[in-house]
Amino acid sequence: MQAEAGLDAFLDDPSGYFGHSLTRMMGNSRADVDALQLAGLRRRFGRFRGRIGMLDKLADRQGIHAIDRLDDVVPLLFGHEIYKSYPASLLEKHRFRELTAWLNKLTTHDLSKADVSSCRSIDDWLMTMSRETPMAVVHTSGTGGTMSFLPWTKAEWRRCITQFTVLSFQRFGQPAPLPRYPMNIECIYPFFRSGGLSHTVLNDAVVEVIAGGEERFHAAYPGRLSADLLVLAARRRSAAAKGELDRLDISPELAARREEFELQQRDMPGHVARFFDTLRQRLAGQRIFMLAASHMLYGLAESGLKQGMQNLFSADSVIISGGGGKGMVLPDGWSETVKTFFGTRNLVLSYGMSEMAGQFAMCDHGHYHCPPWIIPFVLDPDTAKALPRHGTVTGRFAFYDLLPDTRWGGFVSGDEVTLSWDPPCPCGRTGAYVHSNIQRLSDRRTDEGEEKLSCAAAPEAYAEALDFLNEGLV
Amino acid sequence: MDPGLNMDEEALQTFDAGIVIRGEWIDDHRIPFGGRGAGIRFTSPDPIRYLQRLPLSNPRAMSDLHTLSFADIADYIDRLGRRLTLADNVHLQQALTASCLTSSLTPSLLRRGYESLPHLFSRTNAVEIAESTIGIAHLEGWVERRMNDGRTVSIRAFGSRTLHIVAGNSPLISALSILRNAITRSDALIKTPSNDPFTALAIARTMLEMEPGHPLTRHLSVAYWKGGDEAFEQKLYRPQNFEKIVAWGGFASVRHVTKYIQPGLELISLDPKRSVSIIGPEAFASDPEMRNVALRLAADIGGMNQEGCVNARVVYVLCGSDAESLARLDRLGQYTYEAMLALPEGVSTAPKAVNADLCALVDAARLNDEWYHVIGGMNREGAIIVSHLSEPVDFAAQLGKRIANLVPIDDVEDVFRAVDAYTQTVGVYPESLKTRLRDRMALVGAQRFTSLGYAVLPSLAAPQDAIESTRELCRWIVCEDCDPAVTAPLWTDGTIFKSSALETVAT
Repeated sequence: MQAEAGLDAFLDDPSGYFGHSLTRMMGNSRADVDALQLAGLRRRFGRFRGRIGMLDKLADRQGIHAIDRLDDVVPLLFGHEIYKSYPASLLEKHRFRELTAWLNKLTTHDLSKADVSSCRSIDDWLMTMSRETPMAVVHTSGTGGTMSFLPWTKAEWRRCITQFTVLSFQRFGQPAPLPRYPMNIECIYPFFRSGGLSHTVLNDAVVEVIAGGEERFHAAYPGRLSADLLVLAARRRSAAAKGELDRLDISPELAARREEFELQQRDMPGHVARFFDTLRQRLAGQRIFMLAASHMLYGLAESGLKQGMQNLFSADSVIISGGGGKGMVLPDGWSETVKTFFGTRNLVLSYGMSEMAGQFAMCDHGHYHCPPWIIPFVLDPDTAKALPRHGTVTGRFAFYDLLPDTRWGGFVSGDEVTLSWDPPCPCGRTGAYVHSNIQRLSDRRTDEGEEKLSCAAAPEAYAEALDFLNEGLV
Repeated sequence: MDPGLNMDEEALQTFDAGIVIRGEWIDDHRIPFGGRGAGIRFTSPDPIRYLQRLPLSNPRAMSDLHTLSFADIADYIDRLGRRLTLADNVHLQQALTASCLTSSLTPSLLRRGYESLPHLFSRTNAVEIAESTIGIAHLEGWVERRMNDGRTVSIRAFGSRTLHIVAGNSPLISALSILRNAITRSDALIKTPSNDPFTALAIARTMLEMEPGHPLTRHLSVAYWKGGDEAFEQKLYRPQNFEKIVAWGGFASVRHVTKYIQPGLELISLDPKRSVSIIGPEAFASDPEMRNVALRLAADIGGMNQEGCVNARVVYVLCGSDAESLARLDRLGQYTYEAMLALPEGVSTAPKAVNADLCALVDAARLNDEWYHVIGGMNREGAIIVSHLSEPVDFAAQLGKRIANLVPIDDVEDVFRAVDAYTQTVGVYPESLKTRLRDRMALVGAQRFTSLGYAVLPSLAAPQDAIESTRELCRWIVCEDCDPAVTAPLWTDGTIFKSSALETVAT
């Protein structure tokens, strides 16, 4: 019974289970972590089987009714294709009821009560889902042509950000005071306040858990990033690549929002100027928290340094960002530029993705460490079979994330990683870690002529789409 | 870095290639090419050392080709064809062995490709291609025509110095390029592709052994260099070296070649295409009829393992979209799947390589059975995805590896959305539907209509991709005879385009 209660506590709030101590969380024996993960995985599978339609169908087809070993879950890990397996025409034709029914096959929540009948855009739909259901749906940038929709909930985002605070505010091996939530720390974000991309959805949880109120959250743009515009951006790029820009038509619904988008674009420089004013006048010298993509961080730092700002914040500020790699090209020494601008050494580089409620934070030895609620797998890229769980292996990264309690946490990424199970990293953390040479599998294949954009290009693509739309409507 | 990868590299078989330059076999100064991506390693002479000799810098050197009659050419081709028998030709055997490693095609399909070479290089085939794509009279000499203004215009088709950047998805592409070069009395440099580095070389060596001094042997060169090597290409792809470049292949590689196109250097682009099939309601007349249509469709989808641009990928079926119609369509899909698996092994097999991304997309579609009915695909053998919506799957452009998508439509007008400049072949059933569609569908981009089942078996004596690619290898030269007594001269009258005095009198 006690073990059962312990398992619940672990699944509900892993960092709480480890006494909110990073040192305890990342210092467990392999056997303990394996046992906890297997028990957690079996609990999740038992709970979700029969309740998540897509998982059920997949498990039925595979004839999988029980999980006895961690590797048993591998055939059930979802690829990104699952999250974009709705027909794209549903979006064009505003068939949002069917899109909701499709999404409902990916979550234990009942979404059938949400009234999406009047939705005329993806933005409409996302906001309706957020208003009428527990969901905080995340979409991808859609640069590959189709947008993925991930059935996150608001509660899951809150639980996720709580874990982030332990992973990023504490130093491994050093005692840390118990965190108190909300933390009431000033937070900054150099892009839109809201929207459906993972970071912009996460902002809501950051406000709640870290900032403790909107007044302590400072985004460069106060508005909402439009998913419809991102889809247009992707269509525009694909049409431009094929020389078919003249065939690209803008839907009447998008055209009707002309004023909104014109305003958004016109106000951008003003917002950026005010954003920097806030940093300089209100936040200088204070402890801040920021979580952003590395190219955003770098862009902000470079721009700030040009304006003469450096060592702007207090030295105990915390900044979380993805590392380099994954298609992002940043100049050597970019992280020094960032540290100089912000005035902190606490730049936590981490490996993560929209599908994962966690981050692999990098240690001083340059390794991304796996937190205990994420069960990592390295798969053979050709056969999709799991590679051994010992030594060092290279292959496609996959994982089961035990944190989400209303959606299936198994996912196969598009990344090739080198992961070491043993021996442990000299930094003292005991678990598996990913080396820094992460790359997209698609970048390794030379036979794919198609142009691939990573999520890193989202702001640029968004700006282009704004240009295109506003010019096209003149 | 990764010991696993290095072991793979070392396990690769190594082959020795050479360069053929106008009747000479060259195999020194080798450097390594290929690797894991190519499936093999091979060594070949460093192309930069032979850069100067690869093109025919003096076009007058083509005069020896004009000592031959077309009969001589057809005779040479026929004799060559007899030597291109796989069982007796060591060069072809080596090419087949290498292709089994480099090609996306499976060994039985490659073997069948090589075995068809004697038919391709036959007198009757050469004559038919020459006659129907160009006209042998124009190849043989000056064809005179009396014009309205009284002059005589004589036209003759001369060959050209052409660089052929061939694709490697079938060995027949290299073979066809050599055949077209001979028929048009052209001078060819064939740049071999990394996925088929040996076929053109094997045919060239066979020619060399057959008649090293023959003009047709001496106007074929074959070499490999890494496509996209700009330092090399910039020196070679110039108007003083070639009049034309024939570029086969992918979007990126054709677009890359366009950089070198300038006045004096023309591009004949056989760029990437896709093909569709359209099936009328007649297919459902009876169960045997459905089986017949399914077999034909299976050949369009599965023939040569769907590696060609001619293969059907999306299939539009005029069956309606109500539940009963969809059930019928599911049955047609099932029959097609069964027929595809039963195709002869020289025509279609389980695909060689797995496309993991495509498999994942198919598996995801399988989980959405309110929209898609997926037949097969569990063992990487190929699959038929029956859409229950009137539109193709979102990943239609990625279909391959014997995976096709059947789409129900109510109205044939719906197909027009899917046809554009990239549409090469449209396989149609029944014939009457083809007649109904062809005029309007040609306007929106379709390039070839054929009877369902024949998509993968095009006539080689017809235009390709809406251009006359064999004819375009020729330079069309005009010679005029003008008699001032008949054709009003500029210096007396000043009127141009005037009918001849004789004609004016006659009327």
